[in-house]
Amino acid sequence: MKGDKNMERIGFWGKGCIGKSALIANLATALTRQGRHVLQVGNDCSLGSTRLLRRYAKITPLLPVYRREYHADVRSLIGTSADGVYYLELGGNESGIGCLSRSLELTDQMLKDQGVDDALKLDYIFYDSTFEDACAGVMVPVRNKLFDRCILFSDGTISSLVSANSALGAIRHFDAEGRQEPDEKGEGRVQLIGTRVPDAAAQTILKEYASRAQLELLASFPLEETLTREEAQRRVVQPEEADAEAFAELARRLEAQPQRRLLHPVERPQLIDWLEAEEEARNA
Amino acid sequence: MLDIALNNGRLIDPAAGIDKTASIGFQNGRVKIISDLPLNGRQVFDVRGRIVCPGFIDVHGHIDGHRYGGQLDLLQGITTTIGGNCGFSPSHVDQFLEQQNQNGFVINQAELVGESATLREAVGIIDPYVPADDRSIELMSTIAREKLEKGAAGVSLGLDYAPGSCQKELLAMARLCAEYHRLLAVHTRMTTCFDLNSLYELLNLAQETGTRLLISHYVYQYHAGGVRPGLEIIRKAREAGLDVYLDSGMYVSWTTGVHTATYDERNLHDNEMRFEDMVVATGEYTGCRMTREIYEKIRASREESSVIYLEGAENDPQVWECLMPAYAMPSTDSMEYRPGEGHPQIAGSFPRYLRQMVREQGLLDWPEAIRKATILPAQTARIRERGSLQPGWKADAVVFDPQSIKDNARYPHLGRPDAVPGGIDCVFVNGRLAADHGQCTGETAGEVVFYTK
Repeated sequence: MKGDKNMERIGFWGKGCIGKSALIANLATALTRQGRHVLQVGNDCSLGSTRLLRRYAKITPLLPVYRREYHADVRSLIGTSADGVYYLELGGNESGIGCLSRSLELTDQMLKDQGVDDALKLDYIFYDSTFEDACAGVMVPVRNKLFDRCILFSDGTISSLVSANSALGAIRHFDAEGRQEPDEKGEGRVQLIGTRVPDAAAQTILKEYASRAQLELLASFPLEETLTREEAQRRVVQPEEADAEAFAELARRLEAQPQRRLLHPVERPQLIDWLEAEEEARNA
Repeated sequence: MLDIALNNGRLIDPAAGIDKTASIGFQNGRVKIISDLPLNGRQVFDVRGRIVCPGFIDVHGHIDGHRYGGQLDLLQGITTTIGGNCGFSPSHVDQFLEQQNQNGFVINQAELVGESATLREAVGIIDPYVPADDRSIELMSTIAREKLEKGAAGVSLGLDYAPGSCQKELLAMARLCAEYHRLLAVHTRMTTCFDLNSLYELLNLAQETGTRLLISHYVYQYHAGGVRPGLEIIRKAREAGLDVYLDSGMYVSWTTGVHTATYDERNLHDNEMRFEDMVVATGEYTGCRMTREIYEKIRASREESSVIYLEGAENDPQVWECLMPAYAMPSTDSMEYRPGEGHPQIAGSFPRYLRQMVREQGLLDWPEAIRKATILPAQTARIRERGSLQPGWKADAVVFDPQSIKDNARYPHLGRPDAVPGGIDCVFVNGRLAADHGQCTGETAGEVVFYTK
């Protein structure tokens, strides 16, 4: 177990196809190599979150079992990567039926009720969630305070930054609800990670956004080549490879608990105007 | 001599497989005889051209001993109501039952133990968004067990009103219901209008414990997006052997207390609920569309106010679809209001069910519609000797005109929500004439349904 800390639940939020799940898998692996016990939970109907961890091993997702049997033995559905990362896929919804709003909470409840977090001596549960816009349904686990911390992802593009900012707005909104004291409004433990950030210009935008939103930029990787290769080969970075240290450093930084701080999502029209102006200037 | 004789009616008693012209006699509160010939008695009614059937049983009400609500139930043909639903019940259900038994009531009553509001409050849980801890669960279980020992009908959950409830807490209640062979009635937890995990978490309870599950006012919960997939989920669960039923009302627009979590600002925001779609159902603003000013005033007031949320079309076919499965039964969700206040469900539900689903839409025939309103709820809630007019059973009966039975109740901004229905000639409770052509007779022959282990 993590020293004197309790297990931490981290919600990772980002739009699809920006290398989020691959980065999370590498982060979970780096933490495991440093002696932590990590469970990565994917909530993607393609079972894509844990691809790099399980490689070609088959996995049975939890929610279809739960929907079919009205019960699921969660431990029996958890796999272990070559490096010792635990992983679980939820499997998403049936097409056009129901909504995923409470899937993460149901899963977390099952992990707790069935004693899985204790049995695996988990230090972290990583909940990997893909979304485009932070509607109330998507953000129900945030509203219901499931996570101890949220980490947003962006590759510096307009779409991913607007999505991340949307999640930040939702986190702020849910924290501010019901609070009476003005100085308590809209706080949270939220950090930002840049992934597959293509060039220096995108890095600059990401840093500028983090500054405007007063977010801690935990790391900002290019990693395009690394993540593309890994995804093609379905494997995480090996300890002897050049990028392994970058993930090890990210893991160490993750272990430092962020303080709750006031959140400052950027007004959406202003954000889009700014990002489009930057893009226009670059292209000119 | 018979106390009551109802002669020459169309007697429909689905539990006994009867649908024929016959006469029926009551004596000492029970059915004495069914005859092909007219009968003599102290009071004789010629009910030619009318349907005579068992009194309706409402598995989902909040009457809880309130007189006017009970009268409105009676006038729509309900002779037995199950109260204490949605997690709200009298604090001491056992004392309530004893008191009602002594005082008498206009109709028969069974009572559930409410968990989500009443028991949680009893053990000091005030915040509906927090789960009960182990100690609270143990305390609530002890209280619930005591009430079940003393005759309560089961346990009710109102998960929308305690969204923080954890599965462990729910399992404890489900285990008790399974142990006592009582009903677990659940108003589901909807985090969004498409949330079907709200059903799976209940099916988990049924699967883990074997409890009998009644999903409450189904159309109110799922009309915005989940009616058909939800029914499919329940169908499969029943096929898999789970003991699951549902009740559903005849309206889409629903009502609840303005102080509940449902009308919390956060829920309004998350579900994009608009003031202009709300109508105040009680108090000085009855019939008014909601405004920010009224909302803040009635939320700040200590007086509990009901607010109707207007949704869907007047004759939304989803209402009927919810009631088509063989295991589905009509319900009212009725509660106590002052005259002129409330939601039309309090006075119109069962006549509307018969008018629309049998006479106008032809979706059900009379025997099936009556089965779903009588013996099905009796069997679901394990109410003995009611729901059928077999000799020896309790003489709860309704006499109505199949050509003219209809609801007259309207939403409070359109008319009277408590308008008495038409076409119901007589309602008998335990063999006594309790309602006569839309008027209560003053009889308080209703009994308490005590459950024993």
